[in-house]
Amino acid sequence: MLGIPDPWVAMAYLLVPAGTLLCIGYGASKWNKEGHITEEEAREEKAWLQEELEIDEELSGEEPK
Amino acid sequence: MNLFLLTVIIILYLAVVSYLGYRGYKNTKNSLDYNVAGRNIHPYIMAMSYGATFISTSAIVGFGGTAAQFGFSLLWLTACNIWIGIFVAFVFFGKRTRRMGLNLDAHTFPEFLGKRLRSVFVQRFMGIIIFLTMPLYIAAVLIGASRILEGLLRIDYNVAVVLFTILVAAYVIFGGLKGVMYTDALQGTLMFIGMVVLLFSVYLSLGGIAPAHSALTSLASQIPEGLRKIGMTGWTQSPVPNSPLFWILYSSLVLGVGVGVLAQPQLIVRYMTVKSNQEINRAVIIGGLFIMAMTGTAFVVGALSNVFFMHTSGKIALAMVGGNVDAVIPRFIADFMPSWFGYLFMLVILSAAMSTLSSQFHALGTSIGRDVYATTLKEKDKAKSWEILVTKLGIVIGLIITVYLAYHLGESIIARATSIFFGLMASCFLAPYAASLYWKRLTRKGAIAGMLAGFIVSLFSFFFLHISESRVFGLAKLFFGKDSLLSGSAVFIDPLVFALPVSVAITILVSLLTKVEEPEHVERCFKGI
Repeated sequence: MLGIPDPWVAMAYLLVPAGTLLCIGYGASKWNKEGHITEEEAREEKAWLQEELEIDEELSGEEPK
Repeated sequence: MNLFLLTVIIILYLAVVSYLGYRGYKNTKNSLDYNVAGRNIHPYIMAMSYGATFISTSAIVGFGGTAAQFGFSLLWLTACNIWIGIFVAFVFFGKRTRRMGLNLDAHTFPEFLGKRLRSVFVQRFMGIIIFLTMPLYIAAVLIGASRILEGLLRIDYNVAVVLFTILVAAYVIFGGLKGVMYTDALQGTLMFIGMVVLLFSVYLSLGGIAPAHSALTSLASQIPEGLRKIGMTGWTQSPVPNSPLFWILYSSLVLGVGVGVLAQPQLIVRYMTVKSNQEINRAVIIGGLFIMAMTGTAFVVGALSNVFFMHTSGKIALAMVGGNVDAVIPRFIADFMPSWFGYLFMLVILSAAMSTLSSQFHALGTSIGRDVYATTLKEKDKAKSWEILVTKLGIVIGLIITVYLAYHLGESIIARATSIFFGLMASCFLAPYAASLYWKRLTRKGAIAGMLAGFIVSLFSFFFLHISESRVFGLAKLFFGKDSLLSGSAVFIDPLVFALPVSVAITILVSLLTKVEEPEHVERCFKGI
């Protein structure tokens, strides 16, 4: 198949686009799902991001504010 | 080398990247509130940034070259990269890691498991292991980048290592770590386009998909004696079952890297940068496409380079580069594509290497500063400046070790170094990590026992079983008079094959034999999941 005589190898070759199709199908079917987050989660995220930026700044040599 | 063309492309490229990097950084910095309240990290950026961190010179140059050597069987790794490295990683690990990471306010992988299990030991142990072993993987990326410079600019490898190290050091010292991630999306996009163009050009020049593959199949008589002896039967054929190549290919490269990706400290933190699971759902699409274009192209093109070199020079790829697997892809790009494409491709790959390196150094620095040093302090804020110093010192030490390794690891080493690191991370941390996400019955003792068991079995395998390492260490020879305690092809079975099942079994067994230490803390971890 596809010039690949060994079916085991041909399967690997085909599993590559098949996996990509799975990813596309999954992402597309859930495009607008699981987007809601609670206020508490949003607060936690803000605190998390704030600290993450501080870590980045420390690594880059700036004293955190 | 066309110096004028090269200079023009470099200046244009650097101008665009610097502008985007600066703008991205400024926007993010000035609008923290906006970013958090609105959509902070776009799924495209998240997937590209994950992709650009995951796929680097190691995957394209190192594993692409390995595909030139072993053939299409390596596509099993690409399949794993997509099915496991993207789909399973995002859907089954990413979503829960994001939510639990927020519940625990964790910023590094060791901190995540340390807080989930309420164990400073776990955090420190992981920090130390990552700090000590990460330079091996960083060296793989650095070697890949240097091989690109060597191949396309036709300069000496040692000079290339020095040049690229200066570039990396400048990035690290002058604050590139924070700015570089905002250019990931651009680099990812350019890499994507470059690889797709490359794939089409190669198939087109070889007369289409099936004819190209058939031409590769017909080269079977050209397999070098050394490869035939270890079980290679053709570039489009599987290796002989239970042969040395069978185990090298499937246990170290496919399983080690394909499964090992799930426990990568520099990738796990990416899940936490998105606002909700919706972004992860959307990122699955980009991730799948990106990996197919990257490793899919690299492995297909790597293998097909044999046909190209056979047509042009009457030699297979390995013979063209004097047996150095790591030099195949750079040599192929230089010979096959027009020079402007080669130069642009080089820049894109090198900048992708920079973004991978920046994530690696981020993980390396925080592992020693935040996960080891800071956890020894009673009051965290007391010695913040010391923590910064330790982190920076850690990065500098890591950089020195990396450069040392880049000089001394030798040729054809990128794929092996990468798979050792990936395999080790999975052997030690995958079982406790997966259990932390899915199993409320996991106990601290169970997780620690599983982690230590994976680590000890890995070390034992490196010293006494897996011949590639045990021969170098020489302990097996010293104590038992032979290079490996195993015999036949079994000496090529990757340590992961022994260590991961042991780690899984011990994690489960010890957890079942012990009591969950703080059930209410576990409930807090699982809040919203």
